[in-house]
Amino acid sequence: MSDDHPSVVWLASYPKSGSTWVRAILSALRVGDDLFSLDVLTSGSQPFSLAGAIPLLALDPRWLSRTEGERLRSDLVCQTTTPGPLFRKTHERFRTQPTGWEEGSEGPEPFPSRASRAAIHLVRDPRDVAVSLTHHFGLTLDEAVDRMAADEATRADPGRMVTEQPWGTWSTHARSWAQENVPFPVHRIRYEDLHAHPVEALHPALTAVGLEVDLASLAAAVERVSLDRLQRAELAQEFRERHPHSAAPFFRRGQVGGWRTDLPARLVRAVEADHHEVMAELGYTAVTDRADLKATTRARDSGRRHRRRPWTHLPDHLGLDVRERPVPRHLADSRPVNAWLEVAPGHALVRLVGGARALVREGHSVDVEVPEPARASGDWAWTVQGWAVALAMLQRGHLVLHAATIDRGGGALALAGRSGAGKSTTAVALLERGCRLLVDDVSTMVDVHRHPAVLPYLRGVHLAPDAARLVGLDYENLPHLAAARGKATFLADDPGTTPVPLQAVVVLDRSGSSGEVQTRVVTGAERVALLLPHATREGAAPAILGPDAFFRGLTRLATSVPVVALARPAGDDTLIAVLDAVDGVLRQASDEGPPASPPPKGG
Amino acid sequence: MTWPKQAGRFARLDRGQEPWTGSLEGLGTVLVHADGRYEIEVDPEAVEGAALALEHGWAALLGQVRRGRALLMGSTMVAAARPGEALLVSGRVQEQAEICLDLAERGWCMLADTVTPADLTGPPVVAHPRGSPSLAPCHTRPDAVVTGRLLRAGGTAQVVPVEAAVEPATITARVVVVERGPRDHAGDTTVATVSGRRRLAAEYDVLAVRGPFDPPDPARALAQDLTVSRIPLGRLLWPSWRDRAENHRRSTMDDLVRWWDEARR
Repeated sequence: MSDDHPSVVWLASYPKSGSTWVRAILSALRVGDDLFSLDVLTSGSQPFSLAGAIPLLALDPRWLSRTEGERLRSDLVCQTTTPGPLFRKTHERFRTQPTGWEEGSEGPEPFPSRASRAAIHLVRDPRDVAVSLTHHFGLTLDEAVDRMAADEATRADPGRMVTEQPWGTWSTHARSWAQENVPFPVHRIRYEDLHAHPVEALHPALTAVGLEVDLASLAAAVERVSLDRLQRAELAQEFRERHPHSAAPFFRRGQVGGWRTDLPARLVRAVEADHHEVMAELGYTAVTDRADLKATTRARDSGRRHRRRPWTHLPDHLGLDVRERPVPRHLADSRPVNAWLEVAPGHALVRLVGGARALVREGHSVDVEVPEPARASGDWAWTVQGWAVALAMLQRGHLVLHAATIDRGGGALALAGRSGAGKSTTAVALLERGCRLLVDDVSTMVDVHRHPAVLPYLRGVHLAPDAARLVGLDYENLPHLAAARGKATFLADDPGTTPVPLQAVVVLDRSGSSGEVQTRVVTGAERVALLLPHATREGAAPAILGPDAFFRGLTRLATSVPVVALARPAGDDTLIAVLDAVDGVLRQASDEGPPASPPPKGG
Repeated sequence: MTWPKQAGRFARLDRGQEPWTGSLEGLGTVLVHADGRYEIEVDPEAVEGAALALEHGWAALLGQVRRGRALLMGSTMVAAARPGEALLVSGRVQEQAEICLDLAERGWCMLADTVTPADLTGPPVVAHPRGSPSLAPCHTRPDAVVTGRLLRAGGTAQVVPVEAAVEPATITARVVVVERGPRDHAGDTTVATVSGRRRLAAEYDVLAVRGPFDPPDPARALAQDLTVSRIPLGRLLWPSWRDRAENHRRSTMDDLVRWWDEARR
């Protein structure tokens, strides 16, 4: 090989896009039936393998560093002695240097241009790819769809004789091999065209890369590796490229459009939400309408943010140490507050739905235990994000309002109310009106310049199916709460850590008798009465703070900010009116400005 | 014979002059003489560990090749109870390392780690000590039994303390490790003997470098392949990473040792 006649032709594809079939056709072109074997399909080892250094150089690559390994890869790719096209398979996305290579320095090319003659880029409908991935890797459909949207990569590991192998997402992979990015010719072939007319689809690309083959020979090779023949060959001999975790044969149906029967509707939406732009570029038509795509995209983005952290994670600024460990069923020397909550000095034990338990100590430590059989039933983050935080804040002496709190730059607005009043739904809906969600459900009041402020922290908002639909979220594609709680969790943007001064409290109530939403500024002692049920935390607050301290804190809160009662009729069709009403409160609070600092005492 | 016209930019090897000269850019140079002796010159700017990499990762292996030995892909272990007899373990680096460490815990010694110098002028196939420290990928068996230290900064292999065998030994059996998957039934034999023509299949090919480097004539190459294929061959089903319970691994190793004991006879 020389610089003038590079010989490597990359067979580039996201996994399960037909590259093995093309390799089988190329093998069949080279050898007769009696020598054809599934185990020696054209295209040898993938470029990430450094094992080739041993036969070529007697060099053991395990002794190299990651960067040295990447440089060796480039050399190994360039080592070839065939004059004609040398086909090499890769599932990696194209890049001009290794991921994370030191900026400013020229890194070794993972696909060296001096050795690369061209690429044949195979693409396949991502919905069919998802189905095929499940069988190949032994994944569930959800896992396969998530993997296609994950930009994860296997890191360079010379200790295992491999370099990095970044697939990218299905979308970034496809775009990376677009001609404008690649310094050698790229011939794109859609699997669907290959399936319908293999000779017509493949011949131009093979000719362009320098493989001299006439149409009749190609047709004969295609016939020789028809799917049923490959399936019979696989039955007769083990196919070593079949993934060890797969229970299915490697050569399955290979059909086009199988996703219509094999992929549930919610996952069709998920794939299309994740990849609709590139699908359109490649001629794959989405079946989901635009509004649903948006709802699913929001849900999927939220789910990805949610899964980035372990379920026991709480933001650092809360100062809580969370450990998963056994929690006793009862607290010694405790006083039961209700059927599922016990308190003792400095300690609180809560028994949660699904058999989970949390023990909160001294306002800084949380032990949580979830039952092993139910562990995989869904998301358990709610066990630490909700009650554990609330109890810890009470132990620190703070009042904790059962409210969702939002902010639009003019101060915080707490939306209180009983369960089912629409606090969370209203808060999430307000995000579309430029609001920021400071916290849901556990609104901790801290003192800032002797005025109540809300301590924000990032946690999931729990939405029932109807509520999710109302706020434009695809419920089925959100992470669902464990223990069959019938809700899903939505993660908004991180609200930060700085307490936000409270401007007003709106108490939502679904018992409005008229057909309209009505607001009323509450005065006098009624403020305390209205806030009381949303501050007791089902008895936990007075039990932990002490009755006097609880009442003092509640009174101070009720007299520090306006309290607005918002009555809405039962039924979901009043959401817009509720949002408008809350908008009005926000505007008024903003016009009145932030509370002035009280004058210093003394004369 | 020299490295092809498009010489590597990182790795270069010139076998057209005496001694053979190899260089790894940024690490240094190796000189390997016809009798297998070698010298190493480390680049002044080289990072820590370059000398080790040049010697154990390259020069020592080139020296074996210059002595006319072949290089087989696989680790070779010698049972304490049967000095002079060895088992060649091939497969992915990760699984090889796990199996060799398990054998070491049972009193076996390591003759060669991952690449085995061997004399193919027989039968029998005689494996020679590689003489380099044993390595394992990082995160292999991160329990108290293995307390490796990172080989090099920026690398991903750890040095593991394994008793070394110092005398050549005859490879009396070999296994290729594959990961057990859902299609392998629980009752499937852990180590299945591979017989007949199947031994010549590509997946069981362990001959990496024929001694010397230049490919011998076809008849000699075939003779080498047949020499290796005469060694009793087993296919070992190693527990999937999803199922690496301690007792499952132990029973697999029991099966391996039993199989080797039968196969070597």
